[in-house]
Amino acid sequence: MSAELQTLLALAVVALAAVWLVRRAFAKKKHPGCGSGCACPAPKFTPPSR
Amino acid sequence: MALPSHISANPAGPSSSRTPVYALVGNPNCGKSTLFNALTGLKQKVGNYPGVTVEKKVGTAYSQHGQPITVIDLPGAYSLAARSPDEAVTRDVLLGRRADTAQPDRILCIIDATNLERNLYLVHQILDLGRPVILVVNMMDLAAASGVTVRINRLEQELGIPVIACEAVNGKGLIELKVAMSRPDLPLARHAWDIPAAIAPAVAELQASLVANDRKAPFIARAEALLLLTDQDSVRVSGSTPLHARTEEILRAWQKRWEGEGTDWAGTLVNSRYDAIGRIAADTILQTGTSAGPTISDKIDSVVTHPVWGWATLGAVMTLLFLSIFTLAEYPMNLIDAQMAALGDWVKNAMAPGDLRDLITSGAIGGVGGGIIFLPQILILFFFIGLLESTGYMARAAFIMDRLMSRVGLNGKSFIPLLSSYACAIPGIMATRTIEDQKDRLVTILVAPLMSCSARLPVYLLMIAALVPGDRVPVATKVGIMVLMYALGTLGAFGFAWLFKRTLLKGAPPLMIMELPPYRLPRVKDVALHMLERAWIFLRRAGTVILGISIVLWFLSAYPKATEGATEQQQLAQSFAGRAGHALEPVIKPLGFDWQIGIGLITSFAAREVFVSTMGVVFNAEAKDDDTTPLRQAMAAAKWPDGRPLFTPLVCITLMVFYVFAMQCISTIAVVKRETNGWKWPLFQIAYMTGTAWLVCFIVFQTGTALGF
Repeated sequence: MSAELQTLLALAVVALAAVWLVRRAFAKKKHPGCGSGCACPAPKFTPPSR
Repeated sequence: MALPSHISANPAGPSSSRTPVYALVGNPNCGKSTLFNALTGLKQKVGNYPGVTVEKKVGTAYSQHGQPITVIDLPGAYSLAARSPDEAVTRDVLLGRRADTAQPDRILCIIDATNLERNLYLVHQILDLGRPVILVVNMMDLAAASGVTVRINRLEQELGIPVIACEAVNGKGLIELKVAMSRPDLPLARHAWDIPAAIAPAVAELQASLVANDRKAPFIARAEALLLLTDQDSVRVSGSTPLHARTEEILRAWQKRWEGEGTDWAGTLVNSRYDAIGRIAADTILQTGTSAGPTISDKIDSVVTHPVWGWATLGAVMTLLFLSIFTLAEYPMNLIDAQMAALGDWVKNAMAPGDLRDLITSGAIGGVGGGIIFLPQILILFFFIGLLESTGYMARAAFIMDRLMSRVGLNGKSFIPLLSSYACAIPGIMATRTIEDQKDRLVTILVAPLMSCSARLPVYLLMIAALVPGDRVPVATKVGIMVLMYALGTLGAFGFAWLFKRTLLKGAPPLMIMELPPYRLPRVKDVALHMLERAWIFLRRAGTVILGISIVLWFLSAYPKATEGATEQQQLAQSFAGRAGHALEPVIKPLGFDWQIGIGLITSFAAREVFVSTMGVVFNAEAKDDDTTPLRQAMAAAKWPDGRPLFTPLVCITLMVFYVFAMQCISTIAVVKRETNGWKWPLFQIAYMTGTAWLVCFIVFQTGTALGF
């Protein structure tokens, strides 16, 4: 495989990875912020009064 | 008793076309999740301490005819009068208050045979709901061992509902339970208890309003009216449907009237219920054996909860844990290391030099391999955590820690969330839902990420390896450094809790009431499942997020390309990543860190373990084409431009201290934002933790330098 073709393929892989990471970061999650293995609607939090 | 026209004694029974929905409820730590797993075949986490489940889980079981049955596992609750957010989820699902969950057709109520009378309080409230109920009396073996016989037939006659004797852990009683769940004609309870006459008009008026204005079924409305009038129904969670204004108005009017009269109607209601329960218990519980002094659990507890021996036991357990991490994991770690190096060499031999080859070897293999080498140690950590949870020792550790925690103003219930945070701060923060007091809950959320999570483990291990390379270093030294880091995080959490409780979130020192579960032999299957689940999560992260970041990081460290003839060091320095690291260097140089470490600090903001893969990419980028120098050796050889070694023992310690305190985890920030309903507290958390990290590191490095280290 030529060096030019390697560069082209490497940049394509990088672009794919970057797009995937960005999409993952901004995707609207089904259960946002739940981490792994849990489905959780958040309990309402009432800020405590000082 | 005739039922109102819209209530069926057979909601969604097998003759119905829709899948019947069972809610699984019971007191904390009575075996709900074990039964849920046995019925559905799922692998919901189980543990021998209260508060393992803090959110509802849904699974599918099958009737004896193969028809699907939906089962909802609800968090444990002692009563429907919720005192914490997790109990409120149970209450709301059962009362049909949740917009996102349909009211269950039938209820599977599980009780602990060794604590029947106390468990019957919740059963009594559930029978008020007028839904078909199956009662599962679990832990019959433990009850028998303690000389207690539960008369199942008598209980069935008293309540008028199916009662199944069960040992969920051993799978006993499951067939009978599935047969009962498959019945199309589950009877309604013969449930009689006298509501005090003076309170009856209030119950009736509220019930009428709940039926007319809140569209509740009469039985549910009556049960809800009783709860509202006991004045212990103040915990609200999102997803709950609010009460109609007219219902609120009636409630306030009655409460005001009773306050004026100075009568404790709530107490009268509770006492009336306990009288009814007492009559049932007297009829169904037989003490067949006599207590022959302290049990084995009592004897063990006299040591592990002792003011002196308890601490010694806790210290010994922690030391054993870390000792195992360093000794047992060595062989598999070396194996993974060698396989990764061999894979890198194979790729280098198979491909011509070029960007794609560099991407695969330095980016993908260097980055991901640098992380997964720590998999054996993570498995050992979770094996020990699983073992301690399933035996019941965790609750004892909470008891021991309570004295210390109450001194800093932390709620005793904070222990389980803080302990969970040693694995990962996310479940730890979610576990704070068991804490009733909002201020205590917030303090625990704020300090939980200071507990050293498993993502920090690879960073600590790499730094310890760089700090004390070679085989001549005694394992005790490595264990000592590791224990020191864990202790530093724990003391930091306690220190900040003390500070917050005296400044931002002032409140009275809370009391801890926690049930000590009986000791049980650990179930190998549960421990193994827990361990494998965590391993899968770690590998999935390594194969997705860490791989993605490593690939992008390779690009950032390889581009823009340096001019022909530039060294690897010069290439890295003028790359995008190098420029970012250089931009950060003035801020981190007083801590002893250079721009290369700066790159790691930036990328590991996504997740702490990314630091290791970043170091893999950064330092493998410096290696020669034909050399896949192991990361630890490459780091040990790294130097400042003036030739001084970069990773001195002092820098390694300072870097570990930085990771003890810094808030380097996007997922945790997202969970804190969700649990506190806003950005205020997560931003505060980032600021105080990262600020502390910088300050402590500055003190450590500058003091160490002044002392000649």
